[in-house]
Amino acid sequence: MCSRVLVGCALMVAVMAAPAAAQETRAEILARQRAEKASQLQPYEPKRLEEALIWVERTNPLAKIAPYNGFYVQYGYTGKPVGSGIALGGGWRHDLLDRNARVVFEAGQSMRGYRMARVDFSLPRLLDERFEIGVEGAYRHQPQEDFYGLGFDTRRADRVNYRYRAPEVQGRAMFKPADWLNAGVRLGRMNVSIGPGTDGRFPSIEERFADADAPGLAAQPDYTYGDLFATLDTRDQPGNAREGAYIGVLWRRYNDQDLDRYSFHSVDLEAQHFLPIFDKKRVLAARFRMTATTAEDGQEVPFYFRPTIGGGDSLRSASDYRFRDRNAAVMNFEYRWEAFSGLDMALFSDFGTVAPRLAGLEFSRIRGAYGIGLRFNTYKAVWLRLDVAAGGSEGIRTFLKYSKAF
Amino acid sequence: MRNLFTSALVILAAASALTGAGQKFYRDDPIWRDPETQDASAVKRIRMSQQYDFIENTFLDAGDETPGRAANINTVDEVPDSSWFTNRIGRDEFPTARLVRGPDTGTGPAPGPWTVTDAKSEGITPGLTIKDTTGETYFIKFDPPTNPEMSSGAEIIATKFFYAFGYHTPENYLATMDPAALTIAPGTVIAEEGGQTGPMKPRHIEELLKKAARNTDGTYRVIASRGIPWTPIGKFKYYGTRADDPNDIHPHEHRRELRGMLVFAAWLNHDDSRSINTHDVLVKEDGRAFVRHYLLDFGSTLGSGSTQAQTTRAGNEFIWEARPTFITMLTLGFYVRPWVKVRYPEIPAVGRLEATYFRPENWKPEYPNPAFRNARPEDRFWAARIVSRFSDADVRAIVGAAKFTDPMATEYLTETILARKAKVLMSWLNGTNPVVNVTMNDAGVMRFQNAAELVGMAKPAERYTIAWSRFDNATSTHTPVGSEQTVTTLSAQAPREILSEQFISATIKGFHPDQPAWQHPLVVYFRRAPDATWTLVGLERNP
Repeated sequence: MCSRVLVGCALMVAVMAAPAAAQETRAEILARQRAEKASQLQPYEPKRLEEALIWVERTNPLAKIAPYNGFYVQYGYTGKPVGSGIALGGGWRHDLLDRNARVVFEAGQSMRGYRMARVDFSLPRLLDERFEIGVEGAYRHQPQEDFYGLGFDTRRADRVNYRYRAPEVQGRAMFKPADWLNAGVRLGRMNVSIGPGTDGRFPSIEERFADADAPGLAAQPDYTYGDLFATLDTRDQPGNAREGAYIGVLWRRYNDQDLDRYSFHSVDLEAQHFLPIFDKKRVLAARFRMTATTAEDGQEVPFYFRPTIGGGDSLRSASDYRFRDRNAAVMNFEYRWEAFSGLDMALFSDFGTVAPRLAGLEFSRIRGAYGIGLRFNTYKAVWLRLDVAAGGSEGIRTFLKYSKAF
Repeated sequence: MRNLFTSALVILAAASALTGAGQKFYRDDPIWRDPETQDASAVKRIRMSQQYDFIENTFLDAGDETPGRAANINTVDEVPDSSWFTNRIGRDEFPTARLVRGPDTGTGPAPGPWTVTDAKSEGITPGLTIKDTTGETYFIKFDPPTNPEMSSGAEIIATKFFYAFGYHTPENYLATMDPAALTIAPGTVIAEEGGQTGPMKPRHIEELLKKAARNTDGTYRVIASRGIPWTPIGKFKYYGTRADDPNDIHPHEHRRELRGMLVFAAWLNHDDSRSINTHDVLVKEDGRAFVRHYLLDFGSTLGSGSTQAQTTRAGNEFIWEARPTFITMLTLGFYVRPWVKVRYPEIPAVGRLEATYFRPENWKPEYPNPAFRNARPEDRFWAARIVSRFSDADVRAIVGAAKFTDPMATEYLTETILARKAKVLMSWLNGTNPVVNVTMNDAGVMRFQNAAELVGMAKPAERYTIAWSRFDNATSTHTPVGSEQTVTTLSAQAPREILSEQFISATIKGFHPDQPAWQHPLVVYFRRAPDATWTLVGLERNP
């Protein structure tokens, strides 16, 4: 046995030492290697993940389920209210008249029973795409809207909910003299109906509040309205701004068609500014938003049209719609920094207040919030935002949103 | 019994060491052509996912990282011509006019109306496919409105450089497109917003051109990329081999020309050197079918990011890098990556390119390219020598081919490319033993040169040491002869007693107080011909 091992080793040494290929050329060796490979060729087989991504890139399933023209399905729907829960929307939309007109039929439903249906027809490319006119008919059913009472001293324990329902028709005309400037007018009619809320976790509004505490609760008129609006927008990417400014102004007149009690004006003002540092890798962002409503003598602003603060898009230390009154103002400040090209982080601070009179919007009666956030983004848009906020009386609040803060 | 078996293994190991790795040189060494000897007509088109390409190279450690010398080099440390690479300026005289011509075989699209046969309106990079009056197909690409002439200029310049390096590139021409002279071929369809397709109409072209820089006379400066003939079969990866190509036997991450491409990419800031920008075709020529490998899309080179000026990250950091990301997160952004603070001149036709902050050894593409990652000092040296072949006049002429309207753009780009070239050479010619051009005459006098010294990137070495050996080619065994020589000149005399051998070898090391890498061993092998002349048959840098 021992001798066999030694003989075997000796043979191996002899084989390795022998100049067996001495007559061969480099070209022949390479040719032989290629011939060997030729005898065992295989088709390229992508790995599972690669195969899946190839399929995604080839078929573009998002475009298939939500095409620009045709039947579509999407997460959420147009005008989906904050706090309405997970929702699906869809419908049919299409360009007409060689893209000079567009029609949209859309409906949506959330898991909390919110519903919406609308049809919109527009001529969006008039005057070399500077002028658009359109009409829209919509129906909104929002059965779990939150209400805590009016003013700044409401209690969290007083939370109730109500149903808001409003069929609406509207016509619009918008003019865009420059890429950064947009102005327009809207005229419409709506039939608001308020009823008991369906969120069983909280009382319905009529159980805790009366018309005196919540004007408009007892009866709701039909409204006609008209508004004027203008926006000035120099943001580099409106969906994920790092530089530039935005100013928006909206004046609207609501006319009570039935009760002669609830006609009023409202003015919305919003200003945003983004100051880039280090090639936009750091951004100081600020926003001021104010809504003021006024009613003539003998008239009142119904509670459901009064502005609110609270929630992931305004005062982040408070629940959605937490404070409500005739006038509201909120300021947001963010210091944003890019961790890498797909993720920004932010330190933020919010300040907000509501008051029955415009002069009552005082800094002495202001609520604050501070926190930190993660924003997963592309260059053009934020697609997932996680903000953790503190600073109010409601403890630490977490917001997971599929959109930017501002 | 166990001891006996162990002893046998020890004998075997010792014997193996003595015998080396078998025959080292063959009679046709060094080869300068690595021919595609097998018929590749059975290859099938491969689809590649751009997202997967990023994921696997960023997170999945694609490719073999086993340390080792490049797999496809010849015995004198050079790259033989193949379907991947053709030695051009690195080996041959390449006059400036030839450099400027690059891969071009003509003058671009023929005069007259162009017929649009396809268009890409989705995404951010607009493009058209046209046929000129001769029926030749060209892909038309535009400059972004914010940076007229930038993307087209970068494409023209980088194409000529990469062709001169030795890669296969498409013919890219500067051309002027008059929208009024476009007609749409019947039956042409276009993917519209949302991915739906429909018949192409003039308004589609009008909308596409809104994303392009327009000349004052209403025409457009464009890149006309001539369609590559032959059958497209997908893209190549920077690792592994194509399983269906019998000629593809060297793992791509171990190919010298792909490892060394790191140097060229760093020089010209080709951060988009990803698989997605490659192109394989099945060539049928002279009765043979083989795969030829192209590099495409040089619009994201130099200071151009194709659709905007290059980002400040480009060349400085991979798209995803954990360490700087987490540091930035945890320090609330008060840690600022140093490259963020780099300042660039405002020259729209250039974009963002500079040479002051640039450090070749720190340069990075979009993701960890497996071939770049495997590049060893000798791979980088090989490429740096090719870079060194470009004279200042060559660079100036190539940049001139971009025909920038702004003379400042031409001047700045030329000076920046030259400054980056100097840094590339300083880093990578001195990154290993730079001895080159080794010869030995009949009398056994070996002469050599120092590549770094030749181009002014280093002062002469203090000394060189040379250790001579007999070399048994059949067994790859070195037998030292005499003691190590020390010379202060670039020549040495081989010992008389080995001049009758068929093969001899010499191990050369350089000594320089500022260049420690010159001490890397360089082993050269000479073969004696029947007429007693000596020929360099082998050269191993860092064996």
